[in-house]
Order: sequence, then C-alpha cells, then structure tokens
Amino acid sequence: MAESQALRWIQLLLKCTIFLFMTAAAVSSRLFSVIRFESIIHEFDPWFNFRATKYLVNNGFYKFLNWFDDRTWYPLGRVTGGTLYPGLMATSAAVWHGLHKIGLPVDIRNVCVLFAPAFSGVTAWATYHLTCEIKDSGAGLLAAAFIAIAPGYISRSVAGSYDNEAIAITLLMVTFMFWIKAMKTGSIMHSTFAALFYFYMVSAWGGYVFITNLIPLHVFILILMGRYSTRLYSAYTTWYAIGTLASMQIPFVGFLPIRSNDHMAALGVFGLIQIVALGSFLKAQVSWQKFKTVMVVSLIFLLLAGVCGLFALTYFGYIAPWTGRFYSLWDTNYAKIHIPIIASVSEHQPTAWPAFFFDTQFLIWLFPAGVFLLFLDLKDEHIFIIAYSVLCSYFAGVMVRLMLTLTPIICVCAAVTISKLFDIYADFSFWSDKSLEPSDSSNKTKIMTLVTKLTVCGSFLGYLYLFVYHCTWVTSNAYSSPSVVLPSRNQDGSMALIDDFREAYYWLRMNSAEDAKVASWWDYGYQIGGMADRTTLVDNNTWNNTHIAIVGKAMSSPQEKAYEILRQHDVDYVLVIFGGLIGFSGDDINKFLWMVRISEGIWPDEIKEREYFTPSGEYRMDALASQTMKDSLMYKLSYYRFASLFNGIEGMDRVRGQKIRDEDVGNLDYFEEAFTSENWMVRLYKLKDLDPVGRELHSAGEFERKSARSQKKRIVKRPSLDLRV
Amino acid sequence: MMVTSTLYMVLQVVIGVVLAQADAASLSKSWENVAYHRTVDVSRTYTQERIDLHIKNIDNKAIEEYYFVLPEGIFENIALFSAQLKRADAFLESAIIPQQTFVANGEHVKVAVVKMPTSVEPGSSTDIAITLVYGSHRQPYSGSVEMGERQLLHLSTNTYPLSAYNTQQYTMSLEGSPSIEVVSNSSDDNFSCRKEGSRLDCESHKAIGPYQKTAPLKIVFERNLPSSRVSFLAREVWVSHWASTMQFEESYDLVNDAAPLKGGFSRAEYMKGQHAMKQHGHLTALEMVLPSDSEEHYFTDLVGAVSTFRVLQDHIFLKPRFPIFGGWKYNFTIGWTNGLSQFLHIEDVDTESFVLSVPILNGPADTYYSKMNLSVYLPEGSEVLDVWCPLPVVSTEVTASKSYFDLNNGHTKVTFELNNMVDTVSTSKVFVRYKFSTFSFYRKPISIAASIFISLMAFFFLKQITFTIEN
Repeated sequence: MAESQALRWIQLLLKCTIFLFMTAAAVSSRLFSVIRFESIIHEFDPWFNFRATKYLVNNGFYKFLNWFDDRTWYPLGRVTGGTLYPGLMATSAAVWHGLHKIGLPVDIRNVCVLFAPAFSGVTAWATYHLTCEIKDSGAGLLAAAFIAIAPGYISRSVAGSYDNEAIAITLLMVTFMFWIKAMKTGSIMHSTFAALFYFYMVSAWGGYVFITNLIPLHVFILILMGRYSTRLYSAYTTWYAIGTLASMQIPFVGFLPIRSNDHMAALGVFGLIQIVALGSFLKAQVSWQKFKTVMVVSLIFLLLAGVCGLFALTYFGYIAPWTGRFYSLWDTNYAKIHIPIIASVSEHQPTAWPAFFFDTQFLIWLFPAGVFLLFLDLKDEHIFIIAYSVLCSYFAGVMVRLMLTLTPIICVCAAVTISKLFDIYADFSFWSDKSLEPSDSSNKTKIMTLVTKLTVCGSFLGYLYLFVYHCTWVTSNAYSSPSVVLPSRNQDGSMALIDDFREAYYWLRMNSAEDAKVASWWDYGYQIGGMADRTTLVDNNTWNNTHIAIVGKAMSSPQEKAYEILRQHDVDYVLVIFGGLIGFSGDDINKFLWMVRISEGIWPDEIKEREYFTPSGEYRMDALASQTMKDSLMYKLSYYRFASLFNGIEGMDRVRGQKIRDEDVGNLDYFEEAFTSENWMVRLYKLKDLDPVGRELHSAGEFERKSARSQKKRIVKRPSLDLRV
Repeated sequence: MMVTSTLYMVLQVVIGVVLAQADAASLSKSWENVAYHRTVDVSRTYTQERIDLHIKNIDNKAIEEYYFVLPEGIFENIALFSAQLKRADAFLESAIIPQQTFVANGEHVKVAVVKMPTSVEPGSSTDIAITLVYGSHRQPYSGSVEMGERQLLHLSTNTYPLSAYNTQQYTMSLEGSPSIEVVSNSSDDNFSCRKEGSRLDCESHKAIGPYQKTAPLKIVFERNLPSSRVSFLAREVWVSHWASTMQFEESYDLVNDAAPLKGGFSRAEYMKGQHAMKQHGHLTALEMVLPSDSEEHYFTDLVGAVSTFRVLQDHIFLKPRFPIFGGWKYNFTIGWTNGLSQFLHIEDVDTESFVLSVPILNGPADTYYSKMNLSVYLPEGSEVLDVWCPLPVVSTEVTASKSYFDLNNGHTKVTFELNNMVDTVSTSKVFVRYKFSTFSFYRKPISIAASIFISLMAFFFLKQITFTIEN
C-alpha cells in the first residue's frame, strides 16, 4: 500500500515535471520574434484585436459591448461591440486585471503579445487529457508534446500573433476533452463544462461552427451505428441546451443558433435523439415486430417533415441561407467567381501539398496509421476522432488557414500510433522472461527480437529528434516574422531592420490632424487604426464590399476623377505601399488587379479589367503599359518622383524588373507628396485644397509649370544674344 | 455647505487678484542707470540676454535692493534669471516675485529683486550684470522654406529697456547669427543701429525714463539649425535598494519650431541632396549625455522599439523614425540604468536616512523645455524627510504609486513640476532626503513570499474538500 502510494507520488512528480518542460518548450519556441525583434503585435488582424483590447481595458466591459467605432469605415462607422467575438479581448483584459490585482502592473501590450504562447501550454494540457481518454496517458504525453511544438499550430500562436485562433484552439481542445468525458460517462457535470467551454469558444472565434457540427455528427453516427445509450442522451441534451442558450448571449451570434443553416444540424440531432430515446423506451415496452413498423413509418415521416420544413423556412427567410464562406468550403471556385474579396485573401487559398509536411513533418504520415489503429478498436470516443480527422482533412485541403484545426487531431492520432509502437517495441520484459528455457534457438530469437526492437525504437527516436529540429527550424524561419518590421542586413553584415511601416504610420500619428481621414487599400486599415490612430475608409473587417470598391475605384481612376471620389469622402491623405525601390513584392501594384476586379464588380461600365493590361494581355508598368494603367491613381502615386532618384528619365522597379519612365508618370496636380518612408515602402499623399482662385486644380498646375518654364527660358535667352552675327 | 465653500473660494480669488496687482510707481526710484548695455544672443533656440548695468544711488540713504523689471511676456517663458556683481565676479542674491504683478503705463510687469552684498551709499555707484534666458517665439520669416534653403527667423524684442529707474545711456548689441537685420521701419530718430561684423550694435541718443513705452524691435536673422522644443518631458527615476540601481525613463514630446517645408516632403529630393548628412533646419539625430557607466539603454515610442540608436561611452545618439522638419512633431521614450552608489549618499546609518542627488536633465543640447515633471520613485515604505530643488518649482508632491510587487502602499513618489527649462541646467541636481528602514527593506520579499505561501496553502486546502454526492 505504502509502496503504491509512493509510486503515485513519483508519477505525479514526473508528470508535473514533464508538463513544466513541455510548457517551457511550447512558450520558448514561440518567442523567436520577441527575441529577434521586440515585443510587438504582428501582421494585420491582431492590431485590431489589440486596439479593441485597449478600448476594453480603458472603458470597461459594458462600454466595450456598446462600442460604436467612428474611426473606421468612414463615414459609416462600425458597431464594433456587436460585430466582434469578445472572448479574446475579455480574456486578456481579465488577465491584465488579475495581474494588476496581485501586484504585477504589466503593460496591456505585453499581455497581448504573450497571450498566445501562454495559452499554448493550456492546449498541451487539454490535448493530454483528450488523448488519455482515447488511449492512455503515454499517448497523452506524446500528443501534448507534439501539439506544443507542431508548426501547424505555432503558425497562429507565436508571440505577437494576437488573434482569435490563439485562444480558439485551446478552447476547441478543452471542449472536446470535456465532451469525450461526458459522452463516456454520461456525467452532467462534464457535459456542462463542455457546454460552458463551447460558450467560451463561441465568444472567441467564428470557427465555433465546427464544434456545433462535429458533436452532433458524432452523436448521429453513434445513433446510426446503433450505439445509442442513456449516457449519450444525457450528455448531448445537456450540452446542446446549455451550449445553445449560452451562445445566444454573444451579441454577434444572437439568434443565429436557431436561424442559420450552419446550426441546423445540431438542432436536428437534438430532435432526433429525443425520438430515439422515445423509441428505445418503446422498444423496451412493446414487441420487436410492432416497434419495427412504428420506427420505419415515423422515420420516413420525420425525415420528410424535417427536410421540407428546413426548405420552407429557408425559402420564407426565417432561416438564414448559407454564407459565401460556407459555399467556398465546398466549391473552391465559388469565391473567385462570386465574391472576389474572399478570394483575394491569401489564407483562403487551397492548401499546397508540401504545406502538410511543412506544418506537421512526420506526424502527417503517422496520422492515417493512427486513424487505422482507432478503427481496429472502434470505441465510441474513437468514432469522434475519426469523424474529426475526416472532416478536417477535407477542410484543410480547401483552405490554408484551416490547417490549424487539423493540426491537433494529427497530433492526437500520431501520438496514438507512436505510443502503440512503443507499447510493443519498447517492451523489453521478454529478456528476463524465465518461462522460456535457455536454449540456442531461444537465445537466437531473443537476440533477434532485441535487435528488431532496438532498431524500431532507435529509428523512431531519431524521427522524434528530427521532428523537434524541423519544428524549431520552421518556427524560426517561417512563422516568426512580425511582418510590420522586416529584417535586413547592413553593408557590414550586421542586422538592420526595415521599419518603414511604423515610420510612416508614426509620421501620420504625429503630424496629421487628429481627425484626418486616410484612404488606403483595406489590408492596411487595421494597422493605420492601431499604429497611426487615424480614421480609415476601409479595413480588414471586409463587411461592406461596396465601400471597399469605392477605394478600389479611386485607385484605378485617373487622378481628377479619383480626387472627386476621395473629396466626396472627406479624405485628407492617401496611403500606398510601394516596394519597387527595395524589391518588396507584397506592394499595392501587385494587389492592384484585385482593386480593379472588386470595383469592376460594382461599376462594370466604368472600370474594365482588360484595359489595365497591354494589348497582348501582359501586366506591365513600363513604357508598354496601357494608357488606362498609366493614368490610374495607383500608378501615379506609386511612381511619382521615382525616376528622379535614378537619372530623372527612367527608374528601375525592382519588383517588376521594369523601367518606369518619368514621362509616363507625369505630374500630380491634385495630390501633394506628404511623406515617403526611408525605403519608399509607404508613400503618403495629401489631397490638395481647392484652388483659392477657383481654378480647376489641373489648370492651376499647368499654369505654374508654364510660368516656371518661361522663367527658365528667360534665363537661357540672355547669352544667346552673343551668337547673333 | 457647497455654496459657502464656493463663495469662500471666489472671495479668495478676488482678494488674491487685488493683492497681486500693484502700481509700479509704488517702488522707490532710488537708483539711476548710468549705463545700460544689453546683449541679446540668438544663437540658440531660446534667447540669452546679458544686461550690464552701471548703477548709481541717487537717494539720500544707503540702499541695498535693486529692482529689475521684466515684461510679463518674458516672465512667462523665463528659464534662468541671475545677477552678478561684476567687481567681485560673484553671484548676487536675486529672485523674481512671481505672485505679484505690477502695472506700469498700463502694462503688466514682473519685478525681480537683486540684493547687493552691502548697502550702497548715496552718490556711489556699482556694476552688476544680469543674465536672462527665456524661450522666445520666432517665426520663419518667409513662412516656409524649400529643403536646404537658407532659413530666416523673425524675432520681436523691446527697443528700449523697461526699467524702474532713469536710464542715462543705453546700448544694445544683437549677436549669434551670421546675419542680423532690423526690419521694423521705426520713425524713431533717437535709436539707430549699425552692423559690426556679424554683430548688430544699436544705441539710443536720448535718456530713457522709467517704464517708457517702447515700440517692438523686429529683427530677422539667419539660423540654419533646428529649433527643438520639448513641450512636455516626463522624467522618472526609480530607486531600488535591492538591485542597487537607479533606473531612468524619460518621455519627450518634441516639436521642431523651425520653418516648415514648402509644398510637402519629397523623399527623392531628400535622398538626392543628401540632406540627412547636412545640418539644417531639420533634426535627423539627437545626442544626449548620460550619467557615466549607464547600462540597459532603450529607445521606444508609442508603436514599439526604435532600433536606430547607438551608445558610445556616455553619449547616446538617437535617430528618430523620420527626420523632423520644421513644424513636425515626434515623441519618444528613452531609458537606462545606473548604479545607485553614483547618486546615493548614506547620511546616517543609525537613523537610516539617505540623501539622493538626481540630475535634473539629460536632454539634447540647444533645447527649450516648456513643461517638465521630474518624478523620483523611492522604495516602498520609505519616508521623505526633505526635498530641495535649485530651480523654481511650480509644485512638489509626495504621493504613492503602485508598481511591480508593491503589495502594501506602493513606491513613495516625489514629483517636481517645473516650467521653462533650457539644456544648460542639466548640471543642476535635485536632492531628496529620505528614511528607509531595514524593516521596510526586508518587508518586501517577506510579504511576497507570504502571499505566495498563503495562496499555495489555500489551494492545497481547497483541494481537500470533496463535493461528491455519493456516500
């Protein structure tokens, strides 16, 4: 007794130590960007989340929920409080308040930056418990270790990537863990926890629909397999009732759980399980023959009624139809044709095959093996994992960013495989097995077995080592760039930073009027709001396609027309990103076709994509570029004064590898260069005021140029007198 | 209750106004300025004036106080005021009376009192020199300039001196710029100026009465340097006895008052003309002198760290995110750490009292500061005994402020509010005498340890409680 007690303590101690190390590994591998650069919020969306969190911390929760943001989507504004998932901001605000309470007044920025790494530790813990339920604690520890460092998950949870996904994956795993526990035991407590974490997940990420559909799917498959039980009934009904009611408390979700098609499966299965419960009750009461007829008739009736009802309700508009993003999940070409704005986002593109290996390395080929092993066993909880694997494998293939939801299940399945392998091959107890009498042949088998086992164990340890190496390498090289700051080298080889974005945003923040309106392509909206603190026309919350198209139209129109459009929207500054000088390929000229396409969708008579190409169908910027291209505001703003940096006649665009002629760019009569960053990556232009004498700005510009020219001429004329003979 | 207290406050204000304004004629006219020479130096972003006075007692009794009159416009921006006895080359006791405003000839003036070391007998005379440093608003003469163009600034000052006494002979020289010109077309025949090299010498041909009304003298001078003004500086000094360090953190709101650019900023022209290398009206880098052996430097602003700074020995060179042209603003925060022993003196081991000397400024040269808050954070549990600041302080406050692991009252914070400063005061020091007991010293780690222990124990006991319904 005492011995087993001691053993338990040792086990606990070991487990704690292992978890401690795992968390340390998870956190430290996510800190590359902080160590290499600084504690900074990354990319685009996190800047909005950060800004919202600051608002929450400064103004309190109720003001946050009622937040109407008049600094975005000028002049429309955005009902931010009602159109975001508050889970992430609420959590970090709670962490911030908690830390303040215990005497740690940490800056809110640092809370936000280190949020994702901290939660990755929790994810590892939840994955451990989930896998424990699937197999055993050995597999659990492996799965936890895998998820801690798998690049597929790290890609969205490095320090500074303060996005909804950072907390959502943690909540996903916790919810699933509680669901499995509830489903296995029928415990109301566990299913209540599952429901509460589901609510938390709903408050944090739009991807909660995945849980909303996966759990009913699991239940549905179990019912189809004839594995219905009262445990399943109590677990599901508790989860559904509490989870749905709770999820409706989020303002952004509201009545969606009973009105949108995405949630109908859960409702349907809820109804079904009631009928199945009734059926199983009846089955116990009446004879099998009678029950069979009742079941067949009622099933057909219910199915018909359900499908017809769904169609009717959708038709009459009581249930919202599927959203565009949903369609694009099934038809990868859907977005390209119908909603170019979704297709223009790079993370909505289908996944390239190497990405799977890149993000999960050797786990990807252990994953099917794990699924197969689960099939062999096929307990109720294994069906959940299998359903999850199949669904997510498809989704991950369709959209790059859903790789994230696939990664946890890959880790779980691969851990099951490896732990199974080690269960068999790392078992060296045969060596001391006394039942076999020592003989030559048995000795030989013994040695051969030993060699086999050692080979297998050794090679898999090697794989594990390589996995760690690969993960670190990928994290360090691919996922640790803040994209706000770009690394570069000085001439002497020392590290230097290209900090153009912040340079220009900060200039704007310091030196423009507080209520200045900035027009830029929507990609930079959140960053301008977060770093420059100025009002933007459009931002990364792409809810209003027309408004985005207006900016697209201004950028693709000639300057006088663009001036008119921008003036109507009270714009003070126009911001363009230009990579031609240092060869930064993600600039606005390369995104320009999307601007043209999106505005063509609204004004097909005025903007035509074809006119921006050369007659031979090329996308060029040099002398051969089409006249429409050369006249467009984007072209002019990008290349204005560019040639003067070279010889004054033509300049070399390093991204396109083309020569830009100064005569093609021409003069800017309606805009004035306000600021250009050190490497020309961000160019800011101010809209000129209306002419004080009431002239057209173009003719005013012409007049000034003419007078400047005639002044020059007069100077030149004087010496020419001597030449008269 | 509310009404009476408001009434009382209003009364107080009214009484204060009545008391604060007095007729300047009430001041005695016992002196005569035999010679009044004013030297105005415009070489820096603020104006430096030196006034050499040869004064004579014309009263019939010995006097020792000389009243020096300042126009209120200068008083509002004054950074330094001092008086010297020329003969002994020693500083005189002198002070501006800040509360009291005098009215002379319908204008509001302030009066400074200069006290002679010994009283001056009737009929005898002495020489004193008064130094004034004040922020002055200079406008770009042509409104705006092209990049790299010669920058002309416009300054308005008094033609005649404002004095409480008769002035027999008055001369003035303007210096500190390669070219200074007078642009005010005054019809005053009694005042003339002529160029003397790069200096402009002016003189009055007539004696000047007390508080004589004067037309402003408008001058235009060339100055191809940035005019940096810090509109607000928050300087924080954190004293740690445990780490034995003193940490500095300073936040600057910087404005360049030089001439703004004509027609926006052209990066192409800036690169082609290599203006980053040239010294002109724009500010490309700031240099500061830090206390020796400083460590752990950082340079940040509201959007994160700025990587472009270098530390060479005691100098820190900061390159802001963008060149600051005329009219542009930039704000930033820098910080560094020094050893505590450089600044701390143990006054008395038995009473556990310490004296801390904190340098007032470490900012860049040639800079004017409109407002500044200097906060000294003493360790939690320390008690301020005495503070001393050599510069006129608007207010001094002792409060508490919570920081990391402050589980009790928080750090004791001493805040000095200062107005109108110039870079040359950086050698001055603020002294804080405080008591910090050994008990407070050990209380901090013990309270941290105790709270961790209590929370762990609470967790342990809470885990023991079972809520199961079964059995």
